[in-house]
Amino acid sequence: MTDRERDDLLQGTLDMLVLKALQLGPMHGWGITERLEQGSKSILQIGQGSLYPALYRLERQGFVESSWGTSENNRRARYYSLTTAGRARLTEERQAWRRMARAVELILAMD
Amino acid sequence: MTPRKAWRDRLALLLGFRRTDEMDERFQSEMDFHVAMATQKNVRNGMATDEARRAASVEFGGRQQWREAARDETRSRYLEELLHDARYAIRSLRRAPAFTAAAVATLALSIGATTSIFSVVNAALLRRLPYANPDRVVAVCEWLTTKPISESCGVGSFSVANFVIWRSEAKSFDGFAAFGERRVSLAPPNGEPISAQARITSAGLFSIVGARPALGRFFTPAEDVPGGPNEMVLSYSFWKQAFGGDSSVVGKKVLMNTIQYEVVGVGKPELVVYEPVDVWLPARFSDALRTQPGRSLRTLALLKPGVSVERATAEMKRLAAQRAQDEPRYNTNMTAYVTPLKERLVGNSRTVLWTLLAAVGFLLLIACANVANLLLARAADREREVAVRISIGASPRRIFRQLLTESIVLSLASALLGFAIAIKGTALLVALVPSDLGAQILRDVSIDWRVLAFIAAVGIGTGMLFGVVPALQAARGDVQETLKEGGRGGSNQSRASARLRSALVVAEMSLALVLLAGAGLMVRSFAALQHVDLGFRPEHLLTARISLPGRKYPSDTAVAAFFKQAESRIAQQPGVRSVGAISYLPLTGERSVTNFDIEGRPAWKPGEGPGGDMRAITPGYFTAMGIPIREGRSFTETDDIGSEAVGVVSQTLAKSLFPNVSPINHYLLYDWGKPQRVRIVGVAGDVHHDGAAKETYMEIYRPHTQFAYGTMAVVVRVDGDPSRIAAPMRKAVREVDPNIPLASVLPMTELVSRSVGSTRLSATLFGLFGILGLLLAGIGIYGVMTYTVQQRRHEIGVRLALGAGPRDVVRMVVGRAARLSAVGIVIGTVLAFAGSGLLKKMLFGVPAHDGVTFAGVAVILAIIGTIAAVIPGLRATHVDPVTALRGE
Repeated sequence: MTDRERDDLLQGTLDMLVLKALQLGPMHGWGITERLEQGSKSILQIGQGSLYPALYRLERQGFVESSWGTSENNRRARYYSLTTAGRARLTEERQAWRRMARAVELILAMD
Repeated sequence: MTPRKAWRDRLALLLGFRRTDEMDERFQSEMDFHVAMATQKNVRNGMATDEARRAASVEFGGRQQWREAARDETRSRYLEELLHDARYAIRSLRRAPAFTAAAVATLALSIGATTSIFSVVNAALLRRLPYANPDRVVAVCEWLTTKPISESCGVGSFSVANFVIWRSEAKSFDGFAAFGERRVSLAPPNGEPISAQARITSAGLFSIVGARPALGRFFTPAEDVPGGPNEMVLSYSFWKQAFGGDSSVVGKKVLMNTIQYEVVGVGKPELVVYEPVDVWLPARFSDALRTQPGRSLRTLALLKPGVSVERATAEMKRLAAQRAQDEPRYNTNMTAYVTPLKERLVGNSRTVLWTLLAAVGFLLLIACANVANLLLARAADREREVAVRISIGASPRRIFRQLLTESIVLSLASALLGFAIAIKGTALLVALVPSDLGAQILRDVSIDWRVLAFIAAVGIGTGMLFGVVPALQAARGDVQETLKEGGRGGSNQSRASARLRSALVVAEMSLALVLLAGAGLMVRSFAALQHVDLGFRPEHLLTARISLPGRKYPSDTAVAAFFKQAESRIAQQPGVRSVGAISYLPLTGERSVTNFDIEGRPAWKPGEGPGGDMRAITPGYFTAMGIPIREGRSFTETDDIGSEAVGVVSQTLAKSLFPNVSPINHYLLYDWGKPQRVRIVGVAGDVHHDGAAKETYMEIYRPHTQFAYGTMAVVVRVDGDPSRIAAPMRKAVREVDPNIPLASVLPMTELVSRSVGSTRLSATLFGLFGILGLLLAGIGIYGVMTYTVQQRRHEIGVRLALGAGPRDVVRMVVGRAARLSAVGIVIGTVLAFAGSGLLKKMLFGVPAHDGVTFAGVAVILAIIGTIAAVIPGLRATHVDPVTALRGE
């Protein structure tokens, strides 16, 4: 396996989480970090800056789309939302993740 | 965002350019918002404003770093991924050298063959003529209204009288020129006389093709008048060859048939109209010629801008009708045609070339099917690799693209190799093209942008063609299944792929059958042509042309005396059996037709007579050629200029005009300068003068002494190899007159072989493609059956364990292959049957739906299909039941 593929895997995890956060509805970058933090009961600390490259990547890949909007405190904010392709991608990644997790769990459970 | 801007952005994204300013602005704004929100949260949690802001900033991390990362992400990864995929593809292809070699060899050969044919098609059909206004240059010819226009209409069918009148009357043209050919003897200053091909043309020709001289000038319309100066233009190659490319040649005097001519210019290499010639001479049509009825000229005209071929045709037909009224004797039932020159030149070869391109395209398709089969087999081996990659997060789309990239890398590598093959192949192909055709339509077969574009398209296209389906198959794979069953065959996917492979083999078989059927028909046509009795025996015959300059041999007597002497000298050379001469040799395309009547019968109305081919011969001609005399006698030395006018007619003439009586002692009446009354003294066997595929004509042979021609073809029958006699023959002629060169010295068999050149070309290529297609289809069957046996090891093991004999196993495998072959053969036969009509024009002596051919190729294909299946079948008998079952 090449280095890049390992990168893909790690990036893939953050991407999946971002997609999941957006499944709940359109949101701006800050809101996404909040959702992830709350969702993981504050276990997962997302490197806040790294969220944006991930969002831009997902947008390039066509999984999310974005537009300017106004935030709850009346500020201009970029809102992201899932596309159809993004929804499908989330399902795929979720399955792959479960498989992986099960496999890792099985190995760890070995006597 | 304006639509135009949106497109520009999308394009920039795709190509990997960043539109940084805009993205930076957006990133800055998002970041500011983010940090502001984080600050607010911190304040809510009890921090002081300054501290809260600082903490939020720290938590966000290095802005510059994330900005860079974000910028990178907005850039398309398309090219990057493509390169990565290509590298991966090369690695994985190198890991499978046997597969790669087999696929590349198959593809490179067929891409090479396809590109070779395309190069020729490109040169002959797609390239424009190298003239200033190629699309406006047209050929005009006169032709009978009673017969469909023939391709020979372009060879020479215009009368001087009509040309001169129409040149001044026709309004459709910016230029109108007529020309003819003549063999001349040329003596450069201080040089030996050499034989040269001259084109005698009206001066307008040069401006019609928009030619510029390489040196000096061309003769002008003002000079091209009766009594105009003796001027000559050299062709570029003749200038190089006979004058050593002497740049001071302009102004030099050259003896042409003993008359002094001044060289006024040299044409550029691309100055070629129809066949290449050595020198260009002004026609200077004299008033005497203007009234001559004979039709022997060719013409070219330049359409005025905006004038269509149809409009020009309509005008010429009107003029022709006018001439038929003014001069009914020579113009009744005659009309005129206007055809774009390109069309005239290409003529029948258009069909031949497109057909060959289609044939080689089929071969390429078979090769693609074969490689697709190899890929499917490989995909089966790689199911696990793909499953693992999917399970660690590679998307199916990514896998598909990866596999397709592999196919395209494969096909591009093959195209590169195929290109090298094509360069060689094109040269071989051009050598195969009959030279007379080649000289006209294949002037420049060099590689141009069309050929490059073609091979690039084929390179990528074939990769897509054979790669898409296997890649889709692999990428759609069910990961769970594959991993669970440990990669053994038998999954849905491998069953689907087995079906696909069978379908591919069926397609291969049917395409191979189409190719073979075409090959069979062409080969049979060629054989039929070879079996046609041409009416003479071409073996051991050498032919050469001799042209006597009119100035030195002004009278018929002088001409006759020369040939008599020359023949007797040649006859004295060792090994010579007989010698003769004729004005228009068979298979050279030369003929001269005139109307005649039979004494005692009502005369034919103008334009309705059958027309006889007039040929002058020496007494030895029939013997030397081996043409039998069916009735009466041949000519003898006593048929002299002063004796009774006699003639020998061909069997075709005898049979059609004298069906129930002997033609002997009947009289033929015709005009040739003055009224002729010729007694028929003999009937000669028919000769296919224009080739085996053409009808035999009504020939009227006259003794050379009574009907002298300054240009004759001498035929010499010898013992053994005829080309050995060329040197002694040259010497013998020089003894009679040292200034007379020999031209076109060729064995008669060479002329025969040239006359079937285009059929031979098609038969050779079709045969080659057919055999290659058959081979590939055989390999395809072999591959699929090998794979099937491998997949069914378990089943075979069970059968063997249950007592089936080796014979049953072989029968099972071969039976399966036979079913595939049978389906392929049936489909192929239907396709071939539907398509063979397109070959009709190229066939001879065999119907397009020839049952023997179709049955024959079906049998051949069935045999190959069976043989290809027997080997894996035999291998299957070696399956060890114990091992096969333990593998469960």
